Amino acid sequence: MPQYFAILGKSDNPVYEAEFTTQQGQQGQLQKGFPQHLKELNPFIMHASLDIIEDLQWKLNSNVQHGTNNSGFGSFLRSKNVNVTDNCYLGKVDHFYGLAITAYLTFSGMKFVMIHGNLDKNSTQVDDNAVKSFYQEVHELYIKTLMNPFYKINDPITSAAFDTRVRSLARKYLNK
Amino acid sequence: MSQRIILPSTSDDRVFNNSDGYEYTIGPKQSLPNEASSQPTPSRLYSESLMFRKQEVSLSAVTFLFGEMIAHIHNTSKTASECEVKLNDYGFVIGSKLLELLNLRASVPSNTYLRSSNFLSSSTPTNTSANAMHSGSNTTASRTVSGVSDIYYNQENSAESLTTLISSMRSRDLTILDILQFIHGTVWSYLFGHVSDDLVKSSERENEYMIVDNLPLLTQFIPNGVSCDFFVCGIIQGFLNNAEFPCSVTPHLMPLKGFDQRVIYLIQFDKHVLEREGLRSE
Amino acid sequence: MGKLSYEGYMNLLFHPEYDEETIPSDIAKRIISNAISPVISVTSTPELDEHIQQAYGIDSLYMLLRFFGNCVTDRDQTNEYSFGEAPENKPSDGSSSTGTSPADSNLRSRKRSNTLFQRDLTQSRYIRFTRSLGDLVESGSPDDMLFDYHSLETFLQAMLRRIESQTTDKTTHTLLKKSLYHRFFSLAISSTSYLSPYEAFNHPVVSLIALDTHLGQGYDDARDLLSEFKSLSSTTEIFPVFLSTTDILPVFLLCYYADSDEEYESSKALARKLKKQLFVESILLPLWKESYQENVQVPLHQPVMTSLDEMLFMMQSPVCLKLSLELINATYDVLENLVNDLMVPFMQRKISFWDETVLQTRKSLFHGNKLFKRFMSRTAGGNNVQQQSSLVKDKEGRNYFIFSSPELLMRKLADWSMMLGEFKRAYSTYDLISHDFEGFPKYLASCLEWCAVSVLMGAQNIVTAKMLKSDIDPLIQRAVDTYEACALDQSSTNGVSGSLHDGPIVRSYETRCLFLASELYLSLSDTWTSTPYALQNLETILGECKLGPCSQIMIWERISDCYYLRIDPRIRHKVPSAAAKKSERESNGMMEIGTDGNLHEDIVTKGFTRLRKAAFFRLISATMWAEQKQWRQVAWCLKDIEGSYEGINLVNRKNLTLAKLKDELAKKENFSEGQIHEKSSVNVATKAVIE
Repeated sequence: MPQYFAILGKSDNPVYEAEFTTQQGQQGQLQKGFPQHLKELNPFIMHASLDIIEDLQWKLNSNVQHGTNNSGFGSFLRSKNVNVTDNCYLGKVDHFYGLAITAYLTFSGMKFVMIHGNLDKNSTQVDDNAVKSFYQEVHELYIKTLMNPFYKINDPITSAAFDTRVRSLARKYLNK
Repeated sequence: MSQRIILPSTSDDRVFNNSDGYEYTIGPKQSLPNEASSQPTPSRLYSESLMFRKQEVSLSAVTFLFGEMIAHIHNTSKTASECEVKLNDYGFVIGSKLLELLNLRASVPSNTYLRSSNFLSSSTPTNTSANAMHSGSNTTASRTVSGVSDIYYNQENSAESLTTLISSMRSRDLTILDILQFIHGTVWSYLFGHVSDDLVKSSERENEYMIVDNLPLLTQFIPNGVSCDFFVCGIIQGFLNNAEFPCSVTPHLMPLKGFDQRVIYLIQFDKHVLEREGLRSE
Repeated sequence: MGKLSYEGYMNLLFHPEYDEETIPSDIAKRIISNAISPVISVTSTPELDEHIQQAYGIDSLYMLLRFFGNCVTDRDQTNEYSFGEAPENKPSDGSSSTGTSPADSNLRSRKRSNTLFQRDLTQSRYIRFTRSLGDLVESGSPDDMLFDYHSLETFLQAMLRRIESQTTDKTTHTLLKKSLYHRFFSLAISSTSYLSPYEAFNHPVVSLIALDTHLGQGYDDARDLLSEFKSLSSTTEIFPVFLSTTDILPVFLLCYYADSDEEYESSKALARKLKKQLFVESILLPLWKESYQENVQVPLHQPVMTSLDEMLFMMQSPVCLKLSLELINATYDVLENLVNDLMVPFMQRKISFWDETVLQTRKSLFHGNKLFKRFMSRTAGGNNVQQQSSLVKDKEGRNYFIFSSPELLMRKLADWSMMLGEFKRAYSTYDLISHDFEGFPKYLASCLEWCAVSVLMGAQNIVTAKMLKSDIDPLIQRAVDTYEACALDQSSTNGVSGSLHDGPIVRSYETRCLFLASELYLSLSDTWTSTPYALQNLETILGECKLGPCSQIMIWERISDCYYLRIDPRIRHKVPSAAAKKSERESNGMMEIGTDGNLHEDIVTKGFTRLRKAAFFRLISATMWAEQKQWRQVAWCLKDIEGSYEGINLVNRKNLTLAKLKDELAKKENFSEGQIHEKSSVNVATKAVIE
C-alpha cells in the first residue's frame, strides 16, 4: 500500500515530499511502490485536488453537507469518529481511479496531502483514525521546524532528521 | 549532547551536506529497505517538547534588548517610516510562527497540564526510564538497548510528542471575529501575561478593528515611543497574514484617564477578506 | 467579414477568420434542434434527375437539395456572397441584410437570419433532406445503429488529419477545438437516416414529389407518382408497421424553365389542377434559366447535418459543385415557402388533431383515476388488452406498436412538438406516455430521455438546482438504466431469437442519451450546479459505452472543459486569465507582505473554481493524444495548460509526465523538420542527377 505524501505551501510550492512503501511482505520480499506511470502522474493528481481542498478550507460549518452548495464532484466524506469541531483534518477529499486522496490543513494554511495507492485494483479504503493521527504528528514536527529561527516559512524542509521521523511515523500509522 | 560551534569563516562539510533529507529539485524519495531498523537522526530541534513551560525573564533585560534593537534600526535606516517597516518585519516573522505554535498548544486539553507537570519536572534517570519503558512501548518495536544514550533517547521520546495528548485539533479560525478573539485572548496572554484590554470594531469602516492595550509591556519605558509599537503590530500582522487575513496594523496613542500610555492597535483588513467572508457565509 | 454564423462555426476549419469569436453557451440547443429537425424525403423522376445531371453535374435532385438543409433562413450556402456582389463587398452586419443592389434589381429583397445568435430557438426552422421513402425503407434494416462508433472514429480521424494539415501549433485553437467537439457531438447524436420504431424523429414529415415540367411531365405523371407514394405500405415488402404515409404531407415540386413565361403559366395551371383534383399543394422551382450561366457561381459546401455515411463518402471523394447564386437564392425562397406555409401548418394541424382525438380522450379517461385503471383487463403479460391490439409482430418476431396505435400517435405528437419547439407540450406528453410504456422498456427509455431533454431545451431560466437534482437527473438515470436493461435483456435472449443485433443498437441510444444530457447541462447558465451532472454522464460514457480511441479522448477533453466551466457564478468575473496570474505570482513572491489593493484578490476566488483539475484532465488528454500520435492536439493541449503549471516546482521536474510530453513533442517536431530537410536535400540531389 504505497502512499505519496507532500506538504504544499500557498503557491502550490512543495515544502516536503515523500513516498512511503511497505517494506516486508509475508515472505519478507520488498513490496513495490507506485507503478511507473503513476509515479509520473502523482504530483499532478495531487495538484488537481488542491481546488477542492481550498474550497473546503474556507467552508464554514464544513461538517454539514449543504444541499446544493456542496463541492459536488469529490464530495466531502466525514468519518464518524472525527470530532465535529476539528476542521484541520479533511478526510478523503478526492479520488482518481482507485486512488484516494486525503488532506489536512495546518493553521497557517499549509496543506498536507496524501495519495493512497493500493496494489490490488480495488478502490482504496482509508483508515481515518490512523491517517488523522499521522497528520497530527507530522503537524507537530512541522511546527518544531518552524521554531528553528533560521527556517523561513515556505522553504523546503531539507532536514534529514525531519525526514527520518516522518518516515517512522508513516511506518507506525500507515502500514497496517 | 555535544555543541558544535559553527565557525563562520570555515566551510564545514557536515553542515552543508544534508543529502539525506528532502530535495525539492529531485522530488520524493522512496522508503529505504532497512529504514525500520535505523535510528532516527538525533536532533535537538525535534526532540524538544512544544509543551508550554512557564519561563520568566526579567523585564529590564527584555527592555534593554528591545532598546538596543531599536537603536540599531535607527542607525541603519534613513527615515522614520523605514524604521517602522523594519520593526514591523521583525515582529512579522514572530507572529507568523506564533500562529501555528499557539494554536497547537490551545488544542491540548487543559487538564493535561495538571497531569503532565509531574511528568516533565522529574529528572532522575531511574524514574524517567521507568516512564519511558511504559510510554515508549508504542514507538518503534525493534530497538537495541545501549546504555545511557538510549535512556536519554527514551526520555526525549516520551516528552517529544504533544499530539499524543491531543484528541482533536483546535479548529482553524475562518472568520475575522474568531481570529481576533484568539489574538485578544490567547496570543496576548502568551506575549504579555494578560488578555488585551479591549477588542473593538470600528463603527465607521467595515474593515477596521482595534485592540487596546492600556500599558504596552515592551515600550512602556520609551517616551513618545508609539512608533516602537510597530514591533507588536508586526506580530499581529504576521499572525493574521499567515492565517490568510491580509491586513495592515498601526499603533496609535490614545491616553485615557489613568492610562497615559494607552495604545490602540488599529487593524485594517484588506477588502477582499470581507468579500470572502461575505461569500462564504451565505 | 460578417458575423459568425451557425454554419460558419460548425465548419470553422474552413473559416479561419472567425478564430477569435465567441459563441453563445447554448450552441448545443441549436445543434440538437438541427439533429431532430423534420425530415423531407425527396422523390424525383429519372428524367428530371438526368436533366439536372446535364445542366449542373449533380446526380439527382436529392443530391442537389441536400445542400439546402439545416436552417433555411440562414441561407448558409450564400454566406460569403450577397446579391451577386463579389466576395469583397460583404455586408458588415450579417444578421439581417435587406435592400437590393442595382445589379440585381429583379431579385426581391430578403432577410437573412443568423440562427447562432437568436435568442428564441423557435424562430429558426431547420430541415433535413433524405432520399425517397421507398429507398429508405428498402435500404434500411432493423440492425442499423444510431451511430456507428466505428464510422464516428473514422470521421474524427479524418477531421484530425485535416486540422493537422491546415493549421500550425500557433493557430488560435480555442474556438476551433470547440467547433471540432460540436461537430463530433452532432454526429454522435443523430447521423443516420435509420427509421426507428421507437422514435419519430427520422420519419419523414414531408414527401417532395418532383416533376420536370420542362420535359412535359404533367398531371398524369403526378397522379401516378402520388398513388405510388400512397400505396408504399402495400407494395413494399418490408414496409415497417410503425410507419404510415397518412402522416406524411405530399407536396409536388414543379421544376420549370424560368425564361419561358408560357411554361411558368402552365406550371401554375398544373399546380391549381393538382390542388383541385388531388388535393395536394405544389411549389414551383425555377431550376433552369439562361441568366444562371453568367451569374456568380458559388461553390457549395457540405450541409452541416448529414449522415455519417454520406459524410465519409464525401470526404473520401470530394467534389466541388457550383451553382448560380440566383438559383441558390431562388431555391431558398421556395424552401422557406414550403417550410413556413406548408410544412409547419400541416404539423400543427396534425398535432391538434391528435391532441383532440387521442390525448384528450386518454387524459380524461385516466385523469386522477388510478382506480379505474386497475379495472382494465390485464393479460398475463401485464399489458392491457387495448395495448395488445396495438402490437404487431413483424417478420423477425419482434413486437412493435403500429402507426395507428394511440401510444405511437402520442409519441409522434410529442416528437413533432419538439421539432416545432413547443417544449412544454412535448414534456407533458412524454410524461404521460411514459406511464403507458411501463411494460415496454425499449419505448420507455426513449420517452424518459426526451422528457428530460425537452425540459432542458425549453426551460431557459427556470431550471433550478433543485429541479436538476430531483427531476431531470433522475429521468436521465432512469432512461440510461432502462437502456441498459434492454441491452442485457436482449443479450440474454440472444440464444432464443438468434440475433445479437439489438444489443449494440440499444446501447448506442444510451450513448446518445448521455451525450445529449451532458451537453445540455453545460449549456445552462448556472454551470456551478450543472457541471457535476454533466461530469457524471461523461464519465459513464467513458466507462460503459463503446467508443474509438480518438473519440474517447474527445470526451476526456470535454471533462476538462467541464472543470474549466465550473466556476461559482458570484465570482466568475474575477477569475483571472492565465497571463494575469503569472504576473501576479511573480510580483507577489512567497510572503504576502503589504496590502496592495489587488495583490490579495485571489483569496476571494479560492475554492470557487476547479481550474487545477481542468488543467490536470487536459494533461491526461495530451498524454492520450500522444499515444494516438496526434501531435497537433498534443501541442494545443500543452499550450492550454502552460499557464496553470508554470512556476510550480512540484510538477515541473524532469522525470514527470509534463516534462516528458514536452520532450516527446519537441523530438517529433525536430524529427519531422529533419524529414522535410532530408526530403528537400534528396530532391536537390535527384534534380542534380537528372540535370
